[in-house]
Amino acid sequence: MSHAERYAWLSLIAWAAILFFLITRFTAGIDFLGQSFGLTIVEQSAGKLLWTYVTLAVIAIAAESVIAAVLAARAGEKVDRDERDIAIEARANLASYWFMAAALNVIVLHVLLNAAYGGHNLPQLNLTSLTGVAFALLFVLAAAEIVKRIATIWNYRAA
Amino acid sequence: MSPKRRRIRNRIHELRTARGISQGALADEVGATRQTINAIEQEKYAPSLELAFRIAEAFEMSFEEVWTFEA
Repeated sequence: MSHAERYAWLSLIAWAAILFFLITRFTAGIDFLGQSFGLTIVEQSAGKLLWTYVTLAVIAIAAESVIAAVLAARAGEKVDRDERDIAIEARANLASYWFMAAALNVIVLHVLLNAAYGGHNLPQLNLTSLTGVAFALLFVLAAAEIVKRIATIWNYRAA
Repeated sequence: MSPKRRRIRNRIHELRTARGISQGALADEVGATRQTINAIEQEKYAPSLELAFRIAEAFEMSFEEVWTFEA
């Protein structure tokens, strides 16, 4: 397994944990491992939302830095990244971009269709609240990072 | 009409084993990772022109002796 592929695996685990943390911070409904998460968004104050955002950013930067430092120390003097790694990263970035574009379009359509043809019992994302907007955007950001790691690993397995 | 699909073939595995060079040693010489050399040998990855030339140079052979473009 190459340095870059190992990085993608470790980073995938880190981002899956970040997404889990995000969901437990914003939602409630099912108790698991002492945390409550589910489909119901729990409304929060702007101050608490800002604190959650800063916490997530710090965790993400710290996790990526630690993974990069540990793997760089292990790689030593050897070439740890070449043109194939760069090509795979470009493909993974493209997959992540398309996921983000699709997710944002789904959110926009959901909001507009809900406003125009509301009144159903399907799960709804309330984007009229600050918490709903923050959760939707942060969820898409974290999920896009996960898509990027999965696409990276997939490309290493395929090519 | 689109051109007929052709494949870039190479003799890296054959040349490397004949000379007793490991994938890692070749990778170090051409500035790539061992995994990339392996992917090129298995024809799962087509390298850039620059890397292809560097590989041919590592074997002290011409480009055409290492690489072919087959139908």
